[in-house]
Amino acid sequence: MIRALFFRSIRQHAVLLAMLCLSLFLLEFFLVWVAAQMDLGPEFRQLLETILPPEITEMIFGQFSFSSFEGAVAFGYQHPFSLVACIAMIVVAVTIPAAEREKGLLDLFLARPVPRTRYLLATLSFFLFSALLLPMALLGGTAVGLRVVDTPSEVGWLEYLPSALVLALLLLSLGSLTLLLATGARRRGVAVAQGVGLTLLFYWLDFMGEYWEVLETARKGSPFFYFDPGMAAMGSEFPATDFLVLGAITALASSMAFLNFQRQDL
Amino acid sequence: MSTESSADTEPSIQAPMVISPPVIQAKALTRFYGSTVGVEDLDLEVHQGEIFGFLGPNGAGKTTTIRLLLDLIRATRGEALLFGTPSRSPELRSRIGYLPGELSLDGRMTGLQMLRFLSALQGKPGSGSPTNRRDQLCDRLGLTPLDLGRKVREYSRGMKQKVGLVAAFQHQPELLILDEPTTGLDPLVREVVLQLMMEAKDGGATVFHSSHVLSEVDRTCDRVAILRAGRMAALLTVEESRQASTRMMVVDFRDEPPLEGLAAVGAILERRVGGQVELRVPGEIQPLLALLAEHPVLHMSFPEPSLEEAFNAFYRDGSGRDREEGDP
Repeated sequence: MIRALFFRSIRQHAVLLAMLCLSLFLLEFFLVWVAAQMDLGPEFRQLLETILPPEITEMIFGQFSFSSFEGAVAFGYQHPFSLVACIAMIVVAVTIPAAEREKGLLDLFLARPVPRTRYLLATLSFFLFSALLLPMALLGGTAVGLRVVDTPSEVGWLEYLPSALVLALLLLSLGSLTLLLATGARRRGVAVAQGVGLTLLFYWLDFMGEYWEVLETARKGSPFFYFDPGMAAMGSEFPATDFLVLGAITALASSMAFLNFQRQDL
Repeated sequence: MSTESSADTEPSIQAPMVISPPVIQAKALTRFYGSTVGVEDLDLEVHQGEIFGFLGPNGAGKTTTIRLLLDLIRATRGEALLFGTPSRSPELRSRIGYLPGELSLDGRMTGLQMLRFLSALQGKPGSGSPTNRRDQLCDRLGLTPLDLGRKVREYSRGMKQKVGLVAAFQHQPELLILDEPTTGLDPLVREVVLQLMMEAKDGGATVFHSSHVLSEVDRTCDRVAILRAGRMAALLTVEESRQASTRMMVVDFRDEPPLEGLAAVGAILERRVGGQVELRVPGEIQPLLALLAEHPVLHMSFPEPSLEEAFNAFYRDGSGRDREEGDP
């Protein structure tokens, strides 16, 4: 029965999922091509410093690791379009229980021998599938781009696997927190608003925490703090702490979502 | 003369009597929504092979009871058992066919996809081929293959109800919980639904039939529970409920209506317009019919009492005061 629920979700979201995957693939392919065309050496930085405020330049070269071809390729994994597209899909996936409760479908499904845990497991499976598929589409764009485009670097696509995985973990942690909220919501609109609001709050906390000392400690409570795909790709060591923290948030929030759903009135 | 009973003399050859538990059992089942009562201290037993009517006006607690039985909501106190097992066990629901009162189907699926999907969730198929059973039900309810190939969002209310009915019956469940099953259906299909319920009963299934339509309950049910403001107001056999209810009758006399004679046979005049009188007839109707036979009558009808009227008739005595608890 999990299979029936899972494939129903796949069928219903196949077009959206396919379009997003294609868009992400093309975006990353395009970024590889653009990065290959640009001279991203010190002259590029000097050029930007003359035309942009120092804070923006710092952000481009600091947060977004734009100082090299490798960094520019990794930028695809934290490009605003990638983040918005991936988070949007995840929010859609994890708010399925709220949508089905709102439509009255949950009554129809759970009046059958479907334990609540299995129903939520089906939602979680679809969410997990989406959270892995979308970063893999980006990785596909990287792989094809690096193979097809004449690049100034010998970097291989597998170097970007940690970037894709850390993005997947970010999506899983944000999605699990939204799932926790969605299991208590009676309307999808409310669940979406809560999920998006929470994501924006975390993003704001991480962004502001970098520049505002007051938020420096609080920043560590945001999943975005543990998300640095540039470092994941080019760092000297595997970012195990980031993976562990994001994984722990996912496990904890998902478990709480199960408990919450189990005791809810439907 | 020996006084020993056969049970005493032949204990070893008698098979032990197996008493199956009630199919539905509610023990002081209570559910509050904040300070509002959903149902309170509901005690109920429904036995195998019975069609049980569950009546009550809107807000009486019928749907709350059904949702408690199906573990869709949780009781504030008390207990609901299905087949002798606490209703929280999901496995039980493979033995149940459920039609919700406010049926929602996934508009993006076709009718057939919806039925197949619900069948997959049901897991354990009933006896016989589920596909054949589904085809038979669709045929009887007038759902053509063309209808089933269309998206549910294009369906009328009645068509959706038919799909819901097929979904409830298709796995030949041991217990059918039907909340307003004939809503939105035309009279011919309504008839088929009532037949399906009777057939299910004949096959040994139990039917829990929540309804507003008195005539349907009257025709199909063995016993009727009447719910009011979340409490069980009465639990009657259908025969008892007939006697308890008051018939309405409209008679068109060709001449002056025999008002004194009508009063003498116990008919209560509700309204009079010329030769037409509207009467309330509590109890036996035979004396009234005998009286009418002596007068030229142009037309006579028995309007179906609304549920509210039936409840009023049931809860009020002749003086119009509310029946006190413990009153006969």
